[in-house]
Amino acid sequence: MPEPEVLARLEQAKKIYQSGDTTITALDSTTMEVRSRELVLVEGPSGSGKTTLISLIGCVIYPTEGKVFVRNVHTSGLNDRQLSKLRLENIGFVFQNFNLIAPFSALDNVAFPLRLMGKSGKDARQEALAQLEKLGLAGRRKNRPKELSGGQKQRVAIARALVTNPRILLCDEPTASLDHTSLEKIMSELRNLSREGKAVVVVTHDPRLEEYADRIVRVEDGRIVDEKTSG
Amino acid sequence: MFRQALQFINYDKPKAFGATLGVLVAIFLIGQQAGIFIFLTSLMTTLVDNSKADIWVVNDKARDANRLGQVDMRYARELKSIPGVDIVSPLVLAGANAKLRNGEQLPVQLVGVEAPEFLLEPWRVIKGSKYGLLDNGGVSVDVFDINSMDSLELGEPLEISGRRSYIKTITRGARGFGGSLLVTTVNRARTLGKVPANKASAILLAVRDGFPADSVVAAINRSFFGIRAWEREAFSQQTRKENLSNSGIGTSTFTLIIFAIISGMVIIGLTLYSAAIERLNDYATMKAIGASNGYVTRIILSQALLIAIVGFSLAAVLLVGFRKGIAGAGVIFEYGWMLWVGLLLATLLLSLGGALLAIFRIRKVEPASVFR
Ligand SMILES: Nc1ncnc2c1ncn2[C@@H]1O[C@H](COP(=O)(O)OP(=O)(O)OP(=O)(O)O)[C@@H](O)[C@H]1O
Ligand SMILES: [Mg+2]
Repeated sequence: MPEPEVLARLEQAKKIYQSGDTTITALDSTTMEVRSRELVLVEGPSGSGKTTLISLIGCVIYPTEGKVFVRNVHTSGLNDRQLSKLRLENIGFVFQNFNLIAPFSALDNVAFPLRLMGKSGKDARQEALAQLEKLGLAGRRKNRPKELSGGQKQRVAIARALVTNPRILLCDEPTASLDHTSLEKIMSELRNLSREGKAVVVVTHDPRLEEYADRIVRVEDGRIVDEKTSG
Repeated sequence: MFRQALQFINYDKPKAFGATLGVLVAIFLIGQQAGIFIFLTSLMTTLVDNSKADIWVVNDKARDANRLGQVDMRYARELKSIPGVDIVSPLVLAGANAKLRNGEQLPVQLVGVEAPEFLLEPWRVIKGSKYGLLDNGGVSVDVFDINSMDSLELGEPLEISGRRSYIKTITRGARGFGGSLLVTTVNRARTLGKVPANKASAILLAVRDGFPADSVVAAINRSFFGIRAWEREAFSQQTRKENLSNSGIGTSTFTLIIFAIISGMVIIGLTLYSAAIERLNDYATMKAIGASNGYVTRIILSQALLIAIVGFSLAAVLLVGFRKGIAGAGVIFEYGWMLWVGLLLATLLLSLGGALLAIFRIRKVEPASVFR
């Protein structure tokens, strides 16, 4: 077994939101590593900073203080274009509310990141279809998001996150609208992906997910208050 | 890119329809105004443009073919001696009143031309021929100038300045700037229009082969005082310039076109902007996944371009129909390729300009907003 590799690192990263004269510390100075072959669960009450934490790892927000490294690249020095490319190539997102692109069909949603990577429309759709098939959704490829159920949307979102084969997979409440069987299926799949060498970070309220985790990070009030390694 | 843009357009059909309609209306209005403008400017210079004269010799104060003043006929004889001058032929323009058999009255401009040289002759002739003008009392009439046009027949009598004349040539679409043009012979125009025999409105010249018109013009302008020679094209341009600067047709057309572009741009701008606002979350998601600002900008531009192409094509079809329809009422003009290029540029200007607002907004979207 090769050593796990650090794929992303927060160093004293802090996120403060300023609106008018109120200052919200969404995440206090936090140092954390995300490694390959590891499924990390991020737990905590609503508003505690879980989404902020993975947004920092995913480079969709800049830290107010501290540093963020993704695959050893210090992200603060990157411009819009470079940062977009870094996200596209290294990070797969499953967003809290799916965030499928409404005008696109399920297939085009999944093909979208491949198109951004410069693949031809035909190749992108072929690969996207294979990914949808894996998640049992090939039959709904032509439907737009609003014609899909919550669980189906979630699976399309997962397919879209996986289709580029990113090293880091960030999932914000990926199981919220799944029944028990689907949850089991998705979580085992995520666990398998981590075994194949990806870093998987899953934000959740759901204690049922704990059995799949290699590490559980507990966030409260913008701080990591507990971190335990299981198994 | 166009596939994605098309899906966005497809998703919000009412807005796409609104923006397309904006392009359509703006471009149609511009094309319509431009068409009328082309027609009016062609009327201003119609006498010059339809003449076969290489050179127009006019009073030296004349700057407009519709207000020529007079030149003395003695110049006609002297002009013959200028090297390179082949044909010298007087032109007499005079106002008069015509009364048709059915009692219809119309103010006319008599155009007296000299046969058989015919350096100016009736154009767009549909019945009879220019030689009919040589018959006793022969004049040409345009069907569009006469209300009772259906009944217009060759040989029909009419009264001009109280004298009996006959329609010997019928044209369709040979219209004047001021009044109806009635082409006839120089002598008859003098008699009916009460122009003295030693005066003409202009002296038209044809140049002998091998002599450049510009050097003949220069020679005339060196040798004579009181008259001025113009090459046909130069006089046409001068006439257009004079009329445009005095009439306000140019400025009013220009203002209308500018307003059409501005209002089209506002309609398209607001529609694309509100469509973009509604899809803000989708654009944020694209960015979060890894689309750069350049990419989302191109998606908006592609939508604007698709709308522009459809709007322009529909406007073009309507304009072709408009041209045909109005030609049936005697307003005859052609849209040249330059006008189509101009309309296409205007379309691009207003659709891409209209997209700017949406683009600024979309570029400002934080990819992090997908987490809210
Ligand atoms: N863009 C923003 N502007 C201002 N405050 C924000 C912004 N984003 C998050 N916050 C605040 O930061 C804090 C942490 O938010 P975050 O979304 O990380 O919580 P969370 O743990 O993901 O909550 P939930 O479980 O409800 O999704 C909250 O108090 C939130 O209101
Ligand atoms: Mg959250």
